[in-house]
Amino acid sequence: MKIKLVYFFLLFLLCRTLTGCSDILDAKPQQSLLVPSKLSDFQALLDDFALMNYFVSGLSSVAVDDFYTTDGGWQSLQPIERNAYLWKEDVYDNQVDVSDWNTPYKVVFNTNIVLDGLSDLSLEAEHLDESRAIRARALFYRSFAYYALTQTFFPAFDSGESSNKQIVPVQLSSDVNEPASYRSLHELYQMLISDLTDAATALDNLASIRARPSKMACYALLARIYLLLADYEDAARYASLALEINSTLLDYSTIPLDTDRPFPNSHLNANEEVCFYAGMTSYSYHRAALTFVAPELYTLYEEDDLRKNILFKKGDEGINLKGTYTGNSSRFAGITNAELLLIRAECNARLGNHEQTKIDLTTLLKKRYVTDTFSDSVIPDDDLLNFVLLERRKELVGRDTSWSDLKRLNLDSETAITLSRMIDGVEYHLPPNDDRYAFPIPQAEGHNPS
Amino acid sequence: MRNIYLYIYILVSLYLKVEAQQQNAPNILKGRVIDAMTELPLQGSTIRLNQSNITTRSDSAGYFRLATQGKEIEYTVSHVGYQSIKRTASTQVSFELVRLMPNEDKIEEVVVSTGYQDLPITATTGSFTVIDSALYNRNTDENLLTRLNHVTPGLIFNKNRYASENSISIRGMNTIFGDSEPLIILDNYPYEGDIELINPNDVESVTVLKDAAAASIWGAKAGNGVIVIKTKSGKQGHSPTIDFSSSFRLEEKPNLFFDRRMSSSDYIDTEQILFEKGYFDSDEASYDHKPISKAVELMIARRDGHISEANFKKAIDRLRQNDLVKDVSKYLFRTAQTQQYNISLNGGSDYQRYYVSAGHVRSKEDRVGNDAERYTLTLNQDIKLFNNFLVLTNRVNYSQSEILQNNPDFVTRSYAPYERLIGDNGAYVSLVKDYRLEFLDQAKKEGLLDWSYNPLDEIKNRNYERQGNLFRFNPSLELRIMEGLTLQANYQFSSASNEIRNLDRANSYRARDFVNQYTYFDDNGDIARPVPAGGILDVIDRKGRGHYWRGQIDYRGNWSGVHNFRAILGVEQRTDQTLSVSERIYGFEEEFGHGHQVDGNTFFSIYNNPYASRRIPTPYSMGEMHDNYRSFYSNASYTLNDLYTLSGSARVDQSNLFGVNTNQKGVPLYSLGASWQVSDEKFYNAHFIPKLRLRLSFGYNGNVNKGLSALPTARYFQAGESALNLPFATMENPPNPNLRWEKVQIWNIGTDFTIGNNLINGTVEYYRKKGEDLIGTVPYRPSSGINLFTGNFASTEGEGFDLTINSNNLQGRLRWNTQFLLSHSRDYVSEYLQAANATEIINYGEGLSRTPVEGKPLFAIYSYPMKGLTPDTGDPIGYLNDEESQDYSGIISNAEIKDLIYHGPARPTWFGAIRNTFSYDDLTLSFNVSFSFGYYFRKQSIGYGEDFGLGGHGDYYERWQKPGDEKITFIPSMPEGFVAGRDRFYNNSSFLVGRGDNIRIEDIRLDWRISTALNKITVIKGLNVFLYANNLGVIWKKNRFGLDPDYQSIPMQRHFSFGLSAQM
Repeated sequence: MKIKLVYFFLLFLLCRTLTGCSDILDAKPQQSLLVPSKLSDFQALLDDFALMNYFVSGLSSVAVDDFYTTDGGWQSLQPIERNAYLWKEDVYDNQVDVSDWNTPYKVVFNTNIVLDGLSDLSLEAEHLDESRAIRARALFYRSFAYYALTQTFFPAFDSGESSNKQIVPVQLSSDVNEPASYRSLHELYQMLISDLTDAATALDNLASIRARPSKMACYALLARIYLLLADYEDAARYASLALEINSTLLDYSTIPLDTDRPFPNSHLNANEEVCFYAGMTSYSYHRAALTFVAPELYTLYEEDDLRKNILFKKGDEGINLKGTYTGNSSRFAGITNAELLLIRAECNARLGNHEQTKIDLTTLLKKRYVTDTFSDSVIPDDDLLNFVLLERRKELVGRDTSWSDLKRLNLDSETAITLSRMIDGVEYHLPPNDDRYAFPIPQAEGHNPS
Repeated sequence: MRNIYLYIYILVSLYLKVEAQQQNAPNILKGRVIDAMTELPLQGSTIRLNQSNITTRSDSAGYFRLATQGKEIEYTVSHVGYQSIKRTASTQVSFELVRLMPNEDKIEEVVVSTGYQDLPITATTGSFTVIDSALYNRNTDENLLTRLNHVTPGLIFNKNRYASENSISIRGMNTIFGDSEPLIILDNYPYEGDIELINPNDVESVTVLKDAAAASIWGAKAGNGVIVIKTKSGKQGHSPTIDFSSSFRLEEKPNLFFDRRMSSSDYIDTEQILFEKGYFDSDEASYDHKPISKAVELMIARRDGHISEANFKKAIDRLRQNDLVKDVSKYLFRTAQTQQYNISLNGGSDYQRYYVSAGHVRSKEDRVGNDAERYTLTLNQDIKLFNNFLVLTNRVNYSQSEILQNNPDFVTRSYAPYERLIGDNGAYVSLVKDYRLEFLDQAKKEGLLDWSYNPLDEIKNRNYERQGNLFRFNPSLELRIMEGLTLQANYQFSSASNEIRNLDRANSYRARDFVNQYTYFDDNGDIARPVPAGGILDVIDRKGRGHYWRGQIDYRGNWSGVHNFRAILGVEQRTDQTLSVSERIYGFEEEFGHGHQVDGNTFFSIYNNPYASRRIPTPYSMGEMHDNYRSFYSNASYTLNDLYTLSGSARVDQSNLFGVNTNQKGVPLYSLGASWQVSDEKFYNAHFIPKLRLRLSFGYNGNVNKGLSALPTARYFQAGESALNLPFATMENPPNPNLRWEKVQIWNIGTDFTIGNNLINGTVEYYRKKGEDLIGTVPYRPSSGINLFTGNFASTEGEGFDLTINSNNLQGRLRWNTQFLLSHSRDYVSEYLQAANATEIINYGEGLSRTPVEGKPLFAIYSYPMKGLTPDTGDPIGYLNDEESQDYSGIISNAEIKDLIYHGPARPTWFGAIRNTFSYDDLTLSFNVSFSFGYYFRKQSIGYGEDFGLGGHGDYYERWQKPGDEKITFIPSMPEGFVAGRDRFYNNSSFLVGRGDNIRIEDIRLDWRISTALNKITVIKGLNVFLYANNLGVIWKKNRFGLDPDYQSIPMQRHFSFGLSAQM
């Protein structure tokens, strides 16, 4: 009888604990954690604005000679900035990890999680379109991240032997234990072209907010890549495809000259000229009061060129950059319609279609000069290419394209230049095609899995 | 729920039926004699009928029978070592259960509490240390864990540089990345709340479980040892006693002058040099009005011709006289004081006992404006019903604390040393903080709020309040079903809440700064304030609710006094839910208790930085966490002839660890132990060692690491937190399907002995442990997508021994006893998939992060070998590729582990204490001296950086200045400019590493028991008065710097307290 009691007791205990049996062990330890498994989860990963739109390296822009700083200004920079400014070989000063290298790969990781996750989902018909759009967005971000990496950490593409060496680590799945697959620049760009072309088919012409990719953004990035590959026909073609979707330009004559913030925040849709929003990783150099535009560049802006006062502001000892298309203190690293016009203009100049070039340049410059002061007669017929390249430099000042342009123009001895800077009485030089045009790959890459 | 009542009803009615059947027996006195403390049968007790003097003895199970006559029978039960009992039995009653109370000295048989059962220590095979009430109350600290320091073998408080406050290690490190603190059990359940909410006066005893046999019963959380705390229960058979105690403690004001820094005068001279080099040009030209120190402002004014040379010199010289540290010490710090009051009532009869207490602690911390207050209320009750068939225990506890932290964050080093807090005229000085002073004046003229900052003013305008509440309700039910079989059902409800209200009043700098930053002038030229004027209130609420169920069967059997068997089997389930909400209110008006809405979407231009635009932060967040466990456990021991004991325990823990495969959700842990009471053997005749026991145990404990998941997990954020106004997610964990729980394997062998007539007693133990499947992080190449991968990569090994010796040196009117504790603990990483690189080991090895190196302890000090200084320039000389070098960047970037010097562990490997207690009549004096040996520390020194060491470490004054100095100092010269790597090299060089070995006086206590005289006069039965001082400082240190290795910058602050306790 007493054994019966024991039996009842045990039964009671077991019942008490086993009801709610699987419940409590399945509860999420933290409510805000999730295992990405729905479409909205994947889109949420791509909408991580602070990561997915801010991975273009700002370090290479410190090395660009469109700007300079004083001895005192140089002293107050971070060590990595000081080294980059003077094109020192040991840029990172013993840092094993370099965030400008890590960040684009984090973007790639996110996109791989999305791509792998999407391919595992089985969806009903009504969700297929959205799924394809999310996949396309992921492909765009991944391509842009790899593109940005090549601009800072690898040499210019030159269709010669060096671009066939397998040097770029490419991660194609979200399994972090998968060893890297090394691609050559040539293979990598082909991969990007294929991904972007694929992505363009599933996206809307324009995204409701510019932080998100669109068909136009895909075309724009393709135009950039073809330009790097010196495939001027395809570059022009894609620039046209993009501009057909939207070619609005800001009319600078409507922008007040004395405001400190000439452009609105453009990550949503406040700036019609922006095709895709991206910002550079931040460095104190970019916004330091003693970072001035190089006088030889500033004098190249004509008298009636409104950019003189809208992009720049006179400081005590020099002229600072005040206008960036992000609309805040980050430097812009996205794509604008003006850039597309310039890409098309350059390609046409190289291909001999001078009339087309003139039209594009006029369209752009009419919006940059005081109303009715620009006349296309100033555009030369001979040496048109140099004129375009100069306009490119003037329009895209302070953006990530400056470094890319230096690298690709160095491949041609006619447009190659040596950069030089002086700090504390010592002169430093960067000859064309120097190894230092490719920032070193960080030590951390030596870790597993290799 | 209704089921419970039904079951109880069934059980109770069945028992009563059984009872009734035994009513009608002939006149035989039947009964059983048991030990009142342990409930064990007392064989061989004498039962004597007082009238007839007929006696009998109880059998091996304690039973007895006597034939009697008459209705009322008076009898006496006695047993050696126990207090006799005289009872009167009525023949109507059929069964007499006699409980004998052990004599005083028998009570000294120590009882250990594991949290699942209470056992006499002689019935165990594991490593236990019991800290009794007297030892525990020597230290008057209101945090009960710190009282365990230096009185518990194997337990040490970690003082290496990056250890968190009150971090405890029991027998070294058992995990690398897992939670490394021991498990705290309070009244049989794990307690993860704030230790400061527990009233130490409520504590009856503390048992520390150190090896597998002791701790495996707690399974997956026991890897770091377990500290079991039991609160008081009242005493049976006692008339009510009132205990009152009170103490008052003073804590020395911190000595801020000890950490020498560059003097004001030298600081100004250095600023002068920097000024001439253009170092401040950038700040001067900055459009966001970067702050410029007062001396540099004077230099600028002189340069621009705004003041004369004479006035400049006068003003600068006035600054040279100031010392900010003086003002900070005078106005921001004070002598801390703490008052404690406690009153308790306890008593009980044969069938119930109770303990009620109320406590109050009030303290003013050493920082002005920081206060704390705590109230606790405890009610513990035990009721025995139906002749011990049913025991109801109830524990209810409520604690409340209110903490004010209005002065937490003034970092003296962020300000120029010539600043002041209060000027000559007694007015508050406006310090240079975030902006240039002239900008602040200008802003004020334009209509902005006053933008000046002064920390004293700030304390007045702040109200940072935290209210913590803890409520615990702990009923349990025990049914003694039959001989030796008990069923228990326990439940604990705990509710803890933490309410934080951090208010920066309208006049506080933080509020004014916020309002001003977002201020702008609209199109009409009128001032607009998107952040309205008023205070800023941050509200953070955390509430936790825990439910703990436990059902357990206890069985005890004894056959012929030869075989003794004890076992428990149980299941428990725990659900812990924590909810947190946080919110910020702007424009808060204290009088009305409400604030104003702000526009959190628009990007506003920032007044002090024309290029910046920001949204007003509206930190609103909600979080919910669930910590759920289900466990099955069992423990059994078998003793043969009171000589040989075998024990075993097993436990399976399951939890809602996220995403782990079902078969890996749980981890089984077990232990086996054996003990041998050698001194009771027939062949044993070493009479000078009357007690000798050997123990051996082996088993596995576990470690929990809740932040992990085997599946890819992301954290979700709501739309409001993104500039895009869209919800987003960030990846936290890549997938890791092989994730497992950590395990620690422990071998322990020990002996307990007594020498002479309790002249000396002690314990010696030796243990070896292995950490298996430990979680480690391995750096991955960033192109994989992550920088660090977390998985089960690591193993550790360790060994050590603990020695405890208590000797009663003098036992007469003057008594003197000594306790000597000595522990040795050595652990190292035995396997780690990839060692951290040399730079990380140097930077983090002391404990800032985890940098495991195979073959070395987890916390260790490494350095770059340094030869000395160059004779002509005073630059440090290092080694690159085995040759002398001054290429510091090169040395650092090329260093591999073999190039570094490994000095030794950063935590003591030998430690212990010697405590002597003298007592003479009513006076007792004791003092505790502790020692720590076998470890190293790194001395802090100067770094010149880019600003010639501006405001830096006082080693500046011992630096190399002229050729020849390299023979007397190793502190490098001031370089001409910034030299990459020089500071990093020097600050991590071999010259700055010293031995940490030290001996210190921990405390001294004097007690005076004023009992005898008072007893006759008043109702006060005992009055005890004490004086206590602790943290008395180092008496010997090995390092050549003359520093206290555990307190480099601010010397340990001494405490002095006095108080009394009375019993009525």
